[in-house]
Amino acid sequence: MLFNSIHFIFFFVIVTTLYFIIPHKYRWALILIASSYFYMFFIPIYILILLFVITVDYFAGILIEKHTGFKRKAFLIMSLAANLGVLGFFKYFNFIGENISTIFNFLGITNHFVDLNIILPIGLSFHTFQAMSYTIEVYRGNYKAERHPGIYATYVMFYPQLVAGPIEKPQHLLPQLKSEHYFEDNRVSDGLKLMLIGFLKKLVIADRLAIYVNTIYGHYIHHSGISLLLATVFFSFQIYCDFSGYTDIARGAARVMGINLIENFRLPYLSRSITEFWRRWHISLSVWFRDYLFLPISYALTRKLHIANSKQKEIIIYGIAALITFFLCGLWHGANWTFVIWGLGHGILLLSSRIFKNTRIKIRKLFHLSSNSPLLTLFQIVFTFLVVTLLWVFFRSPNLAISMLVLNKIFTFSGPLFIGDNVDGSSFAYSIIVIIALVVYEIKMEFLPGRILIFNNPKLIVRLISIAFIIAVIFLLGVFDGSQFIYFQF
Amino acid sequence: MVKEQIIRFFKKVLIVILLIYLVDFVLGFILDYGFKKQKAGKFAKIEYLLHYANEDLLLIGSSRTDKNYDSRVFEQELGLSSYNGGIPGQGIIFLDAITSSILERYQPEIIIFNLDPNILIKSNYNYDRLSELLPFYNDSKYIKQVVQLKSPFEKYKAISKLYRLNSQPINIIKNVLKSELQYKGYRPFYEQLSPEFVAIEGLNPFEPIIEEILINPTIDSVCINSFEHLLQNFNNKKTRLFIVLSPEFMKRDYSINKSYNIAIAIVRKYNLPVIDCSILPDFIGHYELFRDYDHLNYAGAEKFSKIVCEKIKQIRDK
Repeated sequence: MLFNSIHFIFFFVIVTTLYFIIPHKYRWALILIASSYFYMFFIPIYILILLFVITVDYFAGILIEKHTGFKRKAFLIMSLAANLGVLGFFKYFNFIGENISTIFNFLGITNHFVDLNIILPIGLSFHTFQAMSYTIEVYRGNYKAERHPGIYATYVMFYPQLVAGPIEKPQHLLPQLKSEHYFEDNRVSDGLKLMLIGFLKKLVIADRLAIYVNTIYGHYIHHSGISLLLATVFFSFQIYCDFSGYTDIARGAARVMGINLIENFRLPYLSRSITEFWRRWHISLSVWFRDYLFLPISYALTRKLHIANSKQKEIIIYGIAALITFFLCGLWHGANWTFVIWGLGHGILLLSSRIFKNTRIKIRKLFHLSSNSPLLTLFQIVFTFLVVTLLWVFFRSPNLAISMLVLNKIFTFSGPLFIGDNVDGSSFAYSIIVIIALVVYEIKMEFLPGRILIFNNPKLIVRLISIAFIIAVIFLLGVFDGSQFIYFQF
Repeated sequence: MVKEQIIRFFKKVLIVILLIYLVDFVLGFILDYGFKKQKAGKFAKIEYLLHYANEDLLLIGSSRTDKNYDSRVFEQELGLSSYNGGIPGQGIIFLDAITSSILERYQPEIIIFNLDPNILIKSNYNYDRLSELLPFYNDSKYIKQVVQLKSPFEKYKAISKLYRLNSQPINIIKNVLKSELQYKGYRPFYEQLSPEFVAIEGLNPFEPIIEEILINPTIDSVCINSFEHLLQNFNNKKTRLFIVLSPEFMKRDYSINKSYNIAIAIVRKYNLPVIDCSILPDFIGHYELFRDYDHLNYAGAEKFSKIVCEKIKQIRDK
């Protein structure tokens, strides 16, 4: 079920109403049934995949807790293998097969790779990562294995974050699922407001920008560098509003029921460096990779690498860990080399940022700029945004050859700016207006927090007018084509 | 305690609903006023067709009609007042609703319908674009019926004036302030198709393209019904309908096009005249007459309109 559908509005109202009507002890069952219905709206049979993953991890959690030493590790590996096996089969089978086939062809070896024509289960990468988070945390002793199979299943399938996160950790979500939550006017209102902001981001900004982006990238061969550059800038905002809009709706829907999901975005395009960007963008995934991949690799390398120069050693360890993490982070997004290059690009930027840290400080001192000078801040924000934006070219393009062609066109700045056909002047103007509005709002949030309050104004009437105004804006400027959220495909 | 919280919450919901109603009414009223004052753009055209058109000859269809038919040529050649009612980007469901609404108000002497060969192929696009009828939701029973096809919830959404005028504010400002260059609904293209553009795609206009998708596409029964309904409109009315196929830049073989074959069979069933200009050699591969593969430019439209007029004269004289 799509959040941006009328079905979801009915679904949400019915489920939430029932949630507050029925006794607390049955609420997990309601959420589980509702989540199953929500998931089965896409491809019903795929619910069996979730059932398999849930069953394996539920028992794995108990067995991991019961045992120590080798057996404990073996049960963890079994659980991870089951999750990664499902993910690998559905998401990467064709990708791996095609690449092996290409290598064989290159070597002149005849082969007949059979494309299985598998439809990727929606949100698979998200719920398998959340499931793995559970067994890892139990293994590490950070959380006791959940004995109630229904509540554990609800942890994996909690409908607001089932198909596109945020990826939760058991110690954060499971206790909340077990606690009783009463109807609280302010909390419910806050949740609904957050959902409304999510709808605004998705319908008014992301889907509006998608019109220009899809037109240009759909016929990239005919479009100029300047049009492609602008489409890529638009895509930066589109993907941000699409994904953070989804997260806001998810967090809002959960908050109405008294459950706080973790923050997934913190004004990422106002980051002053690529390192900061990853602390603000898709936070739940960054934390997952940091805790379960980057840090374990770093610790392992620290023990095994013997380099006398500690600074060199630190950079080598950081570099290897970052590149492996971002290689896999890219691959997590999709079975395509474009995502791998996108991930590696971020990894290389992070590594360069670490290597050239002292150089940057020297340059800053050369220009007599303090670390928090407004000019330097502006430069850093714009620079980080541009670098992130250029890497989005790989994310948006269907293959590497097209990515390179688009980048080549962008850097040659050839031809005029495209406005026409289904992107007429007014559609283009709306795109510019919504971006300006978003940037102004986010700058206010970042640099003037607590000032010019709209949604959180102490006066009730101002808050209510602002809500009515946002609904009116959605009616008037929303794009109601029922388009899917970009991150659903992952 | 919980009861108090619930009451307080619903009081706020009630205030928000009232505020939304107020904003929707006031802003909707202002925008609606401006919408009806537009002097240019396709919405001004639809408004004209639904409420003011009284010409002897109407040209109906999508962007190919809008760009390929010069209404002045029809006036000169046939001696009938003419209006080009082509609405870009629209399919048969939309066009049937518009034509039926016009015919309910008045009956022109001739209607020329530009037949798109792919008119019956199922596409979400046909339904998405029905939202362009929303500003006219209350203007005709046909429009009301057709808008429901977009989604079963559309009639509830259409209660909001702002929703009906979705994405219109900038268009309204632009089209109220500035009138575009148009000749009785005809809005020509002045650009010429560039040989480089065609070369990039590696196409040769004289080699017919075999588009597999057209051989066995999914045919939309709603489109068939709309097309039949459109043609049935002319059974008991004094208006004469001519079906015309526009010239093509690329040589195409319509005989393998399933949608085209079904559409032509329906036209034959109603014994309506068809003027097929899609295979005219004077147009295929002529860059100077086209703006893109599907649309003629100013020169092409003039030449094509004269050909259509000649054919109509011949049919009328029979």
